[in-house]
Amino acid sequence: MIPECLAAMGATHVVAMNYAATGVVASVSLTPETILNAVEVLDKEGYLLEDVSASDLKEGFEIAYHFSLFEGKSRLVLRLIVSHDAPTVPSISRVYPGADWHERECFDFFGIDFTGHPNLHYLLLPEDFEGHPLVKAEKARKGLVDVMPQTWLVAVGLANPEVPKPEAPKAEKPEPQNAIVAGVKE
Amino acid sequence: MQTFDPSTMRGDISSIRFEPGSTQDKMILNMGPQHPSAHGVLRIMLELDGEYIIRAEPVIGYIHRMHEWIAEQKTYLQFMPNMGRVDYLHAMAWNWAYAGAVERLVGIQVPERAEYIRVVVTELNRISSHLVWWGAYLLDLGAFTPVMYAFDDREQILDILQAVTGSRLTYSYFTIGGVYEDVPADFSKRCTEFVKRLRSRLPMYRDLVTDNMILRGRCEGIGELSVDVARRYGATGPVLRGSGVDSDTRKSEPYGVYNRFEFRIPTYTEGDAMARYRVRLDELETSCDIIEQAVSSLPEGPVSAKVARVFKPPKGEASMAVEGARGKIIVHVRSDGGPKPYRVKLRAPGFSNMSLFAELARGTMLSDAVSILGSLDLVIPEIDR
Repeated sequence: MIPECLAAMGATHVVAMNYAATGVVASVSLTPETILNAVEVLDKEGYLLEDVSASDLKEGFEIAYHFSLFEGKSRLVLRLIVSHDAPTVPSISRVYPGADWHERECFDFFGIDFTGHPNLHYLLLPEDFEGHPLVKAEKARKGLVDVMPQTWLVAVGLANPEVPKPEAPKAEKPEPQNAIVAGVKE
Repeated sequence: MQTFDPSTMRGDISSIRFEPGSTQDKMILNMGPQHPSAHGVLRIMLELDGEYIIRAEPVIGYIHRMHEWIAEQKTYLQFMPNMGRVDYLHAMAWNWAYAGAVERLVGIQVPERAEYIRVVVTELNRISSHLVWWGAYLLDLGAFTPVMYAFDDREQILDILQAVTGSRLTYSYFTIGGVYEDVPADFSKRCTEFVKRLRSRLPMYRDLVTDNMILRGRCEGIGELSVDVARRYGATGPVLRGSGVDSDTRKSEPYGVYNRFEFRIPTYTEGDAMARYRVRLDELETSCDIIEQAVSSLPEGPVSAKVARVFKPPKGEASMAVEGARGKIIVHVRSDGGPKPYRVKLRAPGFSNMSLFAELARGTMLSDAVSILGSLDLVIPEIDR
């Protein structure tokens, strides 16, 4: 299921995802140093850039790049984390010019600095706008363990595979069908 | 990062940034934000050398509403009505993308009948979107009559969808787990009648407009787009298919019950404005085919899974890609286990298609830029979100 080209990316983790549950076939964890090399690999393979988005977490800003092929279920998510204090990552707009606007949007909403970007200023927000609206308050931030599926957490070593196993079937089985369907009416 | 302090500047900052190049006889022209061919509130700054465009830069964000922030303030179901307002011409596809992403996250099984109804209303909405594009594009190019024919046909769709959803434009018909309400008893009959009517009109569209030599002159060889450029810019939908790529989310990642229907994905290899035009007109027939198959096999049963109004999905994230009238719509939803989404990201196809414009317009005549802009089928609320 995981495309072979991902081996050449120098990724810290490559995790196969369940397409039916997440809409993604593989999640690739990278660092700001390896992202340019990774997108060059994808460019050679003929991947289409879908979007670049960010999310504010306890660990820092998570930047997610979505790519897919023209055919088949092939969505890849490349993710990396940059710190809140110095949110800097190289721009990929040299390889994928379409990333230009997506990166500007991430700058708008999160204040992420894409180095080497040709034109990094507000795109959707007015030029005299102050701040970045999707940056969360310190208290409201959640960590990766709170927002990622268990399988991913186990694969990257953030959760212990032994402990959740007896728990997971209990918690997960009734949840999709019964707990929600029967109504947690609040 | 912002390189200079806007507070020290006077006047319009976008214009100040757009410095004239080194050419001698250049002129800076602002097209929009109230230009009739800018479809709403799009502004394009152009550097002209006579009639030729040296550089173009779209300025967007005039109707930015920050849907992604709103999503974090509401429960999963409360955010649904926003989806009808992102792309007002193909609201159903956005409904589907968001509902689908949340259903994936939670693991909800949508009843069979709801899946079929979703297909029919989405395809009807796609036809109405393409009809508006067709009329408006020709209006941009100076032909006044076609928009009257297009809106006449579109009116029939609006009537059908009004009977189903209660609204005529900004639909919020989908719900998490199905659709909001069952369709009226005469729904199938009306759909079949409409398909018959539209099919009888298409030859007239062709004779009246598609085969018109003035239109050909304005479209053929204009704004040629190669596959590689389209791919690197993330162009999808009819723009990509006009460059000869047989890529459609309904086929590549079949969602709902699309894999049960037989339909053809129209592609043209020229990559110019005419190819994109032809793809959209052919898609009218594709949608007719799908509607016909779906209404003839509409199953009985419930139209929605039983889902509580407020629910807490498990932790995790889910994405849902849907083929909208303008291309691949994706909604990414991330849950922290609470009743509100932790993060919602909306991927608008028009956003990527619009960013192509600067590339396509370079070196063309000003009048051709209007044709290129129209051929990309832009809906500004979707780009600005």
